[in-house]
Amino acid sequence: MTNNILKAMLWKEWRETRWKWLAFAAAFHIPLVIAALVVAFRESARFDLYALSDPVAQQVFAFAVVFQSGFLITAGLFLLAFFAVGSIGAELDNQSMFFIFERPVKRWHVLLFKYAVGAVQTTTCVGVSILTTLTATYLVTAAFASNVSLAGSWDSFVLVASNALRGTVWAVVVSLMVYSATFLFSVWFEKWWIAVIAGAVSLVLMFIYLGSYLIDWVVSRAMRNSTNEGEGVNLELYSQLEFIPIFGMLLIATGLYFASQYIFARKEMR
Amino acid sequence: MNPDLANILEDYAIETRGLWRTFGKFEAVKGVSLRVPKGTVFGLLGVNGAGKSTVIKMIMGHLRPTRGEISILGRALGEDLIEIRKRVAYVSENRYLYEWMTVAESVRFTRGFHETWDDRKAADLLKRFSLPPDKKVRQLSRGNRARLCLLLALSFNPELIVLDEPTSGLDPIVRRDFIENIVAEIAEEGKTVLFSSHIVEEVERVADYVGIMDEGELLMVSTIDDIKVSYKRVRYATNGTRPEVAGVPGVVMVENGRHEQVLTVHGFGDETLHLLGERGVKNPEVLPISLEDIFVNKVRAERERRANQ
Repeated sequence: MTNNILKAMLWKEWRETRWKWLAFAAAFHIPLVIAALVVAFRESARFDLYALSDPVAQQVFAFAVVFQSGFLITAGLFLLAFFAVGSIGAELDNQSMFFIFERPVKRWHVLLFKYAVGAVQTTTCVGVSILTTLTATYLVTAAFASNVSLAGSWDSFVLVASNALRGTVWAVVVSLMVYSATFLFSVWFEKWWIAVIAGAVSLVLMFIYLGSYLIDWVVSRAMRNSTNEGEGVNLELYSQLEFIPIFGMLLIATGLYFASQYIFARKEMR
Repeated sequence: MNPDLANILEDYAIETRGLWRTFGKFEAVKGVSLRVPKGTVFGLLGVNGAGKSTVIKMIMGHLRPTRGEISILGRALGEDLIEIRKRVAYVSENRYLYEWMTVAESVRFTRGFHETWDDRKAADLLKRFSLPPDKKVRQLSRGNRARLCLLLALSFNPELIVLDEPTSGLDPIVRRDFIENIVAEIAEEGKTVLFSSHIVEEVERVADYVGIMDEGELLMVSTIDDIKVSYKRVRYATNGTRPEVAGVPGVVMVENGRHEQVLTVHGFGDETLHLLGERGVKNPEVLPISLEDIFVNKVRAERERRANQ
C-alpha cells in the first residue's frame, strides 16, 4: 500500500467514522450517566455523596472501576459487537466496498487496514472508558463531597487508577477478541444485521460457558473482601496481569482475524 | 511463458480460453473463448441474463472462473492482478460509489489509488460532463453517476476500459452521447474498449467487433463490417411447396411465411444461389441484413438447436 493509498483510506475512514467514534465513546459511559442521574434525582444518594470523606473516597473510586468493568464485560460487549459490525459489514452489505476492489490495491491490505482502524477505535473507547469513569468520579466527588478534596483523595485516586490501568489491559484484550469475532462475522455474512445477530449469539454462548468465571472475575472476587474483612472492594485482581489468559485471548483474536482474511480474499463481486 | 505464445498474447488486450462459471447447478458461462484485439472497440451483445456481466466480472478478477484461463494485456490474470488493475479501468453495471462523498471528494479519493492519475484530464472531464463538484453522490442523477464513474475510470489513462452495460438506466439522449461521443473518443485515443450491452443499436454504432452471447455461450464473434458483407437475407416465394434448404452451407436461420421463405445465410455468394437454384428456389431476392436481424436469428437458431437436442 503506497502512501497515497494510505492517506486516501485514512481520510475515508475518518470521514466515515468520526461520529461513530463519538457515539461509541458516549455509549461506553452509560454507567456514568446513570450514576449522575441517580445522584441528581435521589436525595439519599446525594446524602451519601456529601457524607464521604477522604479516607473512604478510595472505596467509591474502586466501586466505580468495578461497576464500569462489569458493564463492559456484559452489556458493553453487546454494544461493542453492534459497533464492530459497522467497521466493514455496512460497506460489504451496500457493496460500496467494491469501489475499492476495483482499484489496484491488495485485498489483504484493505482488510488489515479496516481491522486495525476498527480495533483501535473499539479497544480505545473500551479501555479509556474505565479511566474516564474513574477520573469523572474523582472530580465529581471532590466537587460535591464537602469532606473530600482533590488533594486529599489524590493518593486514593492514584492507587485505584494504577490498578484500573491493569483492568484496562484486560478490558482491551477481551474487547479485541469480541471485536475480532464480530469482524469475522461481518466479513462472512452478506448482511450486516446477520453479523450483529451472530455476534450477539456468540456472546450469549460465551456467557453461558464462561459467564460464572467472568462475573467472579469482576464482581464476586472484587467484592469478597468487603464482607470478609470490611475493606470494601478488593482490587487485587485488577493488579494481576496473567500471561496465559491474555496471550490465549490475543491468539484467538489473531486466529479470528486470519479467518476473516481467508474469507475476504475469496469474496466474489456478484 | 512460451515466447510465441507471449507474442500472440501481446496482440490481444483480452484473451479468454474455455471460460466456464457455474453457480450451484446453474451454468452461467459455458466455455467462452474470446479475443479482443488491442486498440479496438468490442461490443458484447446479449439479452439480460446471457452471461455478459459474468464474463466481464471474471475478466476483471471479481469472479473466479470454474475453469478456463484469462489473459489481460499479455499477463495471465492470476499472475499479477494489481499490475493489471493499474492499466485497466472498469465501470460496473452497478456503478459502485460512496454515496456520502461529494463529486470532488470521489475524485480526490480515487486519485490516491492511481499513480498515473492525470489531474488535468480529470478537470477537463469534470467540466465536459458538467458534474457539480460539491454535490453528494447520492444526489446525482443516474446519468451523472454514470459520467462520474467514467471520469474516475478515464482519468488515470488506462490502456483498457471495460464497461459493463454502461448505458443501463440512462435516458436515450444521455445514452447516445455516452456511446457515440465518449466511447468513440476513447477508441480514437487508441485505447481498447470492451463493453457489454443488450441494445443492438449501441453496439452497431461504435463497435469494431461484436460478440453475441446467449445462455452463457458465445455464439459468434465477428467484425461489424464482416457481418454486413458476409451475412445476407434471401427471400423467395414458395408457391405452395417449400424447398428443402437445410443442407445449403451457411444457412443460419429459416423463417417460414405463408407464401414465402426467408433465409439468413452466412458466407453468402454465387455458390449459395446455385445450390438454392438446385433445390427449386426461383427468383431469390438478396437483401442486406442488420445486426439486429443477425442477433435475433442467431439466438433463435441456437435456442431451437438446444431445444431439439
